[in-house]
Amino acid sequence: MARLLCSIRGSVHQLIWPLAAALVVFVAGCQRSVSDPAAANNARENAAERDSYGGSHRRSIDPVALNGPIFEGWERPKLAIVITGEQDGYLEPCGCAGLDNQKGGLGRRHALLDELRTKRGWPVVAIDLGGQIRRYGPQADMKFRYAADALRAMGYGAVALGLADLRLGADTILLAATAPDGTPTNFVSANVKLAGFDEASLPLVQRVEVGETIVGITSILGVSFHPQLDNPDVTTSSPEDALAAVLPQLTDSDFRVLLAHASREESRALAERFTEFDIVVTAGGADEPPREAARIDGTNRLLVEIGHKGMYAAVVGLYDEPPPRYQRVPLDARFHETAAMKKIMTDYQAELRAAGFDALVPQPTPHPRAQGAGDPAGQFVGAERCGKCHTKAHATWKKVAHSHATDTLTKLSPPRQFDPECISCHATGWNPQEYFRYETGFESLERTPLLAGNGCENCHGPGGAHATAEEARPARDLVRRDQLRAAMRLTKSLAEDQHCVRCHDHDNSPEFNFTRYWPNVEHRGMD
Amino acid sequence: MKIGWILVVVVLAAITGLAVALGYRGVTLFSDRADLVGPIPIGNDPCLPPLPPADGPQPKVVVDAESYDFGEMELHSTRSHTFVFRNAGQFPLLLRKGETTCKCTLSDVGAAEIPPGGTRDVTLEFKLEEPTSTFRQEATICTNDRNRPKVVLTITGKISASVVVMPQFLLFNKIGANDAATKTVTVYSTHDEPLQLTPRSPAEGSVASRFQWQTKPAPAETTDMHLLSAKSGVQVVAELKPGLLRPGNYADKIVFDTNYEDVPPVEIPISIRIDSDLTVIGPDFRSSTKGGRVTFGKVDGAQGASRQFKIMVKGPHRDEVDVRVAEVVPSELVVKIGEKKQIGAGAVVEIPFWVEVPRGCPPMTHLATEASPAGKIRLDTNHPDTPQLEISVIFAVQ
Repeated sequence: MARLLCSIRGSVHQLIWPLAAALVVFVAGCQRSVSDPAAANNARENAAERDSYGGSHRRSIDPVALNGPIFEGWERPKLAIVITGEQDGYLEPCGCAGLDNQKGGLGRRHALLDELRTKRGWPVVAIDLGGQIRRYGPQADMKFRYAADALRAMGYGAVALGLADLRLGADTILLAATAPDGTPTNFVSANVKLAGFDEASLPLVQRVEVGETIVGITSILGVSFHPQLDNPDVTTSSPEDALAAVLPQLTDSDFRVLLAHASREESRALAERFTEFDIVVTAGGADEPPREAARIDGTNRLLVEIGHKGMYAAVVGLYDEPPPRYQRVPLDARFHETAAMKKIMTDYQAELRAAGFDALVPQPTPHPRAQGAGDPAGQFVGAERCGKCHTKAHATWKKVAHSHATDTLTKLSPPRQFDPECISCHATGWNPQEYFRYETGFESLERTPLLAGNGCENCHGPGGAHATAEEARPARDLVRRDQLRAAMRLTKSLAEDQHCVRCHDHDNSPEFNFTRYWPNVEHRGMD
Repeated sequence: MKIGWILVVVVLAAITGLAVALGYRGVTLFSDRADLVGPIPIGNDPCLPPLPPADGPQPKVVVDAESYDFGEMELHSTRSHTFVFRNAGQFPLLLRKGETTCKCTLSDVGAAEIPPGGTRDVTLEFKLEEPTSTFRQEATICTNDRNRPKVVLTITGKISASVVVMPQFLLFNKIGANDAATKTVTVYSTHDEPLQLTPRSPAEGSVASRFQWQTKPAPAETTDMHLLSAKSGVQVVAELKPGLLRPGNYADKIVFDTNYEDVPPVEIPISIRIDSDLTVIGPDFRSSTKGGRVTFGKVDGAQGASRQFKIMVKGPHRDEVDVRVAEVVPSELVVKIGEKKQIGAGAVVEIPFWVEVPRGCPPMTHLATEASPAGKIRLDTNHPDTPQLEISVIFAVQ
């Protein structure tokens, strides 16, 4: 026995540290085993979605813990009205980084509708306030078309036209509003007329029947928004006159909704005057919608805001007994992009690729440092040229994500390097907030491979003239050389105040913290 | 010795088996149940501090007010508000910073406990960057009060701009290269002193320099003036002479200084889309400044498919324009140009052309992806501004 104990003791002594390590590893592994199978599944799907968007290096986040549960205590409603809108051009969640902690996107919206219709078996009517886009130009035109296609595919019963949508030409709106298979359009407006549109092309009202319930929907562009409209294809009339005229068409509806592109004050005034509407959705709300909808005049009628950038949906549950229930739904990572919406996004990226940057964005302009077109002071040359002299800075740059920023886009599914809104921060020589190329900026991986990545010149400015002056042998015009050196210098405070946030804005880099990030990129002097 | 090793292996196997069993059952050794205290936060939210034992004294978080309205804020201005957190319970209260919906700055909530009856200030600083008419933002503070693990602070307000531009952009959409175009925007002011604008000279060669700029006082009593509660306004008239810009998309801005000391310069974005005098129209055709794109979709190779399109030519060169097929990829596609004719009392010349996927075309895919690039047709013209039209063709032959 003593020998046995001795033997065990000897063996244990030899194995004590490996044993301890193995025990820690096993326990930690068990700890990571998720007690909630749904959360485990969520984690797996989030991982797949991160691969789709390249956010794999972000911290893992539980969206339900972060943004709160939804539909707690809800029984199956008689009808669920899902309200969305003010997408503002964010077809996908704000930015494409760190999806776990960002909200929005058509894919997640579709997932919500799927969950309500299919998994919960709720009767659903989906309506959209409009505001598919915010900017203007060919890419905005394209986004509007794809958004319209997506809303049709999701079975939306009514879609209003927002202010930015109405900047488009009537032909663009008509093309988007018309279903290829000839089914009636789901767009609606009571007081906006588009040149060339008849009432079939842009109905005054939409009536959606779900079971035995009829929901009547119309929309108006408020007087408060009229000064911002500048489109010869668009004519408007008084919202009040228009609503008075269309209400008779909604008398057989069980439930009526007004989509109001108007200030909050004007929307409330219309809601108080036209008491026939059970829900008034206003585009005059704030960027983050409130957690509860406002009651109109203390009744069960609701004034709904849905926020900006399509980050939220609002769901109103109707029951036999009032009041209706309301849920603000964050379109966060608990919802996973559906295959149908992924296909639409893939087609969108393919069309961007086919169109090419020249067709999508404004003509290249000289960099602000240039004294006019063709000035060498505005010429981009690429980080490799910088690295010939600035070896340490170049080595620092190579270690961080900036150096393979373009590569990141190519690896996404679908690839995003043909999207101006992505490439403007993921390559060298673009204006990051206005999405246009500077002269000699990145064109493509094939034509300008040296400008791949978010290179030195995005922060320090074009380096062509500086590099030429430094490489001149013998050195010429020393004054000019020193001026160019001074122009290329960037202080930490300038970087913090002006430069980094142009790409690391709240949409695209919500966790950006300059103090935490700066040590990774800091570099001083030449070598 | 051997027996010792065997016993060690047996113990290891037992530990492994237990760990696997627990993992399979989805049970963690450190439970996330709220009634246990431990170093692991509750549930899956790392923000939440650990709770005190459930059967003992508890902290209780009380906030003086959980929302604050900043009223009107100027764009790019920064304001802050201090919320006072008090512990009305009998156990030390812990606070941790949670998420914010904005780039707000939350002051340090302090790692130290707030004793019963104690208070702590939490300051939220907000810079209004987004040009939204109203704003609402939230910041979350996590606590160890099991009845209120999260406190959401809300700030609201409205953007105030004493000088606004309506409409906000100078948009020249789809104008011809040889068309003149004029647009007007109005700059409104709520100041008592009438607004005056002084233009800054646009850079030589810039898009803004291609315009003639005029300013004049806006009419005194207009609906828009009333809507915006403005007291004065200045109209900015931008006139683009024909022929100054070639077909394409352009963006720039024009900047005006005002006569108000505390108001930043007024920047008016300019966006121009100049269409070529040549436009292609037809079924499933999407035009662009370079030409456009046609989608055939799936084509039965045995049947083939053909589409007719038209090149509509306007402008001073319309009668002399000729078009010829310069390149077709893949070569199986057939492109034919028809006879041109004048329409619209001669204002427009129409040149028909056909794109055909011929019968018997072998299977192929040109779907505008990396693996199967779109087909391409290049038509050369003798138009001085539009020497060629590039048309992508999306199709797949089965």
